[in-house]
Amino acid sequence: MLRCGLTWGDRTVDPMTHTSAVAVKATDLIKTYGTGDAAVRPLKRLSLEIPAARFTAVMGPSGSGKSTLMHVLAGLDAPDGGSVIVGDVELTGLDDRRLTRVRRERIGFIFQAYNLVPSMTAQENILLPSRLGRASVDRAFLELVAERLGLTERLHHRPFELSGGQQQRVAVARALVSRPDVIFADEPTGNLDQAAGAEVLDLLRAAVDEFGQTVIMVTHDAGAAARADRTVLLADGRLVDTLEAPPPRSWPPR
Amino acid sequence: MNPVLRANLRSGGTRLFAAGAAIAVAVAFVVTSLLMVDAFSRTMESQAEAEAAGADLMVEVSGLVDDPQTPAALADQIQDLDDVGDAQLIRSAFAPAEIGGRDGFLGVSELPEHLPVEFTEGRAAEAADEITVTEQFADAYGLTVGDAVTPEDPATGDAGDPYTVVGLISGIQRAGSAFVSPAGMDAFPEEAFPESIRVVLAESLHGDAGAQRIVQEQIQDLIEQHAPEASVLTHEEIVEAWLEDLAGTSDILVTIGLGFGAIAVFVAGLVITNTFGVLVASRMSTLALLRAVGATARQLKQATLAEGALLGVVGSAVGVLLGFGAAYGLGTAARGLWLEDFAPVRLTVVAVVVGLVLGTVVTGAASLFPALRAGRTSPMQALRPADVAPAEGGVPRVRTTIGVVLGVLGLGAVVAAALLHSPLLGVAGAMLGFLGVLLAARAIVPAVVRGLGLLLARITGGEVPRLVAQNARQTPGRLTTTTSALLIGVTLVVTMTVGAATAQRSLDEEQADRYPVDAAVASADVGAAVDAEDAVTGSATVPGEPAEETTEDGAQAPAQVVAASAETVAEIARRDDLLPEPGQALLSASFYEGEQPVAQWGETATVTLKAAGEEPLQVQGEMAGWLPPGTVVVSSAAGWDLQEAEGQTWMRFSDTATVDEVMQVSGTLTDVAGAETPATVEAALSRASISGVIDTVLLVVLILLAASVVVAVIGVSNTLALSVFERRREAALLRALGLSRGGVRRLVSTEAVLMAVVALLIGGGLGVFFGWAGVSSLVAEDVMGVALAVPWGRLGLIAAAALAAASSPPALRLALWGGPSPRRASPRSSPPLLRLRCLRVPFQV
Repeated sequence: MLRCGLTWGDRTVDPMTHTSAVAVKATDLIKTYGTGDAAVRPLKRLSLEIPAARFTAVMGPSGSGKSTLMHVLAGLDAPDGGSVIVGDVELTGLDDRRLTRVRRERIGFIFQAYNLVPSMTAQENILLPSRLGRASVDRAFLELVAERLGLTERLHHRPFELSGGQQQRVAVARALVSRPDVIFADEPTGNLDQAAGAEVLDLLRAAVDEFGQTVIMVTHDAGAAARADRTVLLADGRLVDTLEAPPPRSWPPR
Repeated sequence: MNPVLRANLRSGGTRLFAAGAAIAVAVAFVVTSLLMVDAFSRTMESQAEAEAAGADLMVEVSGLVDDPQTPAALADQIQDLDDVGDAQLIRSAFAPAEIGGRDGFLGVSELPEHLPVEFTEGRAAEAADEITVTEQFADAYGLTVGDAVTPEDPATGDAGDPYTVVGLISGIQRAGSAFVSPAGMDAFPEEAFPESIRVVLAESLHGDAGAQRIVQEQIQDLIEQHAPEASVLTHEEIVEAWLEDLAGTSDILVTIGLGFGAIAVFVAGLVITNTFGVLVASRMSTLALLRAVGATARQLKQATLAEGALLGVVGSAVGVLLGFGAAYGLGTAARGLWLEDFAPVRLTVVAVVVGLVLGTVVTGAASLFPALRAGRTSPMQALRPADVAPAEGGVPRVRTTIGVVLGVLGLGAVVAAALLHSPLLGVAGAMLGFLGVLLAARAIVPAVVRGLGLLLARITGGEVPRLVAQNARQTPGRLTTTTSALLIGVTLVVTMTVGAATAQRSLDEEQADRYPVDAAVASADVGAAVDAEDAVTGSATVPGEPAEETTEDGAQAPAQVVAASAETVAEIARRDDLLPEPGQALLSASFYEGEQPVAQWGETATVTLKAAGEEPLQVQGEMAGWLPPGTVVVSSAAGWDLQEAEGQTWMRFSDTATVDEVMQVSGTLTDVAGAETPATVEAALSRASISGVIDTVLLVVLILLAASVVVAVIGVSNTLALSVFERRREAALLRALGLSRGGVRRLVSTEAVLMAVVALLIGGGLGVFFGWAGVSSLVAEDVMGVALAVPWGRLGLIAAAALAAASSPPALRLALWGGPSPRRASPRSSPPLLRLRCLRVPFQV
């Protein structure tokens, strides 16, 4: 396995020795839609901690609140109660402008579909968050990520010229290049065939193992969740179980 | 550059192009108007300068018309002043004339001796039977040097002494179109009016402003003593006064040009708002993604605004160039065809600045509302990629309230404008009211479409109209936007059509009042000849009897008594109440002329009719200007024994007869009945020339409106593109659930037809109202009643065009840009399985 000593912003991180840190911490989250009898409560005093530099899967049946949890953790939606801390930033109470900035600088996204801006090339899509924040771009790191993801030849293609798997790789590269505190992946394999889905899961693993990233993946695919280090199970707006996966070297099962 | 802006610009494509075209057309219109008015003003200025040239002072003596001796005497006295070299009295006169073999109207003046003129041929008129004309005049009548011009005495109709053309003057002249010598002016059959005295100072003082002022004071003294109605101006003051006159004309032209420009810009603004609405809607998922990965709401807002501003700048720049090109072309055409001295069109700073600022500001302002919507995009939308769009909100109360208030105010102002005869108030009110209707449409249109859909579902029992009705509740915004685009076009065109028809009808009624019969000739033998003419649709012989008019002093003149029957009136006349009651008669205008008129011009006269062997009959006579001279009309009910052979022939012309056709019939009448037989085609001529003028005005107005209609069509195309974009997923779901391909197609076309019907109902109603109000506000106060005329045939054509535009955008879009057809895109490009993969249940509860 490749080992990289990387400069992580102003911090130097050794991924194998830094596993005890907490990347995202949620406490007593409450979220309610609607009022009265029609009220739906996707989150009922839910608390959880996501360890840094680990691959965490969030699973649960439809209506268990996993999508809402992700919206709240990623600063896309505000909870009605409780608090969310990403890295060292408390999201609760931030206004839209500051939340946007947190998303841009500390959070990466990989969605099921509509991952890329169709009118931009792969490279422009990858650099989009830093351009939006007018931040300088680490060219060397971009090249490193592109090479690792096999995108070097494809950087100047537009999304419609790429296969579904390649598009997802561009999305992964975009999430990696801005060096966020945490990457959220929303059903990243949902729209892909099995081979491409497996490839994306490999890339998410690599993001954790080789680039020391923290990845949170929402999925209802047990097979996908099996690639994670930990799996958090939700039901009815509450955390019901946490499974630690067996050590990576026993994967894939024979 | 803002990365969001860059992405937006790349994904805008043909829709941005369409919006740019809309603003370019509107700006081009405004710029063309400004440049043409500028060139026109410069043309007139240079003419004013040219004609004032040569004269140091001008004494205005047209106020002395009743006292023909004084101007001549004043000219002599001025001539005797020390510093004056020459003082020439300029007179002018007008009369009908035969010009180069054609009937026309001749206005002549004395040619100022010191006016620098350029002869393209020949020389100035010197002898009493010589005349010099301008080239324009010569062209109009096909005159060349050596041709004859014969004026008539307007009172008697006798031909005067002919003039021979001896020279042609280049260019048009302010002073007139034909010039004679003072001796020639004395020979003119109509009395000449004094116009002005042109004063030229003695050699060394010519052109000296100081000397001009001194002589001006001396002339002022003379005027005070002898002719207080006169006034004296120096060279400078003349040019200034002319330019002031001219400014009034320019102001009117500017007002007309900018009025239509304002309509075009207003329509373009609405179209651009729609276009950006389409763009923002089609980019919703991309905007949500941008929000999720870190774009602020402000960045999205600014990107959309910047896109609008950029589009405005580019569109306006193209519009300025287009406008300059159009004005240049028009100017060149004017020089070639009409005004040889028309000043070359120059691109003025004012036109460029007005064009650029107007286009950019309007586009920027029009993109404001869509920009706010872009900023409100929720990043969460990126996380539910293919959900069926949630239902749009209910009726927006604020928007509807503002719309109703603006609508009531604006339409109220239009009614006030119609009653007070104030066109400007009308235009402002119409724009405001229409804006109000567009805002309130969000509350009205979906409800009406839904009602119509449910009604249709009940009648046909089909499922498709029911789906249309449900869609109307699901996506009222989209429905309203598309309908609005149609509404704009329909309202514009219906307004113009109804306005023209109403104006035509009002004038027709006024004409029918004055001229109930188109033409009449005092001969019973012309029936076959005139019936052979295409322009004549009917003729009738009115029995009559030759008579003599005896005035109180015993003088006798030939006359004719005819008896009109109710059948004749029904067949020929344009007004039913023409027939005189027993004891009444109609008298031709000739009885009111001459030494002893029967009564004051136009008033009721008492005349006595004496037939051989009958008791004298006293009747009340009304004047009827359309009768041949010497005619008395009584009703056939009076029971007089009159002979067909001694009667008159009355004619009715076709409504589309032209002036030339009427003149041709007039020629036939002269040939068949003889030149001495009294005849009149005045009514037909008046009708033909008025309908010619209305047709021309309508044509000009439609050309002026064309810019706005083009812009509105672009808007329809854009909003249909929006509807197709939003439809893809919805159509896929319906297909997946079992609706046939034909069913989806019927769904789209049923909705399109219902939208067109609503646009036609609202736009048609508004157009009829605006058309009537427009004519009412334009006519001078109480000159005539304005009767609304609705041309159903033409409105039917407009309805067909609107339905076609709404339901067959492929043809329209292909004709405009050749892009993919919106209607076909939805049913064909949606194989159910492929689309289903990205369809998820809206809420995972």
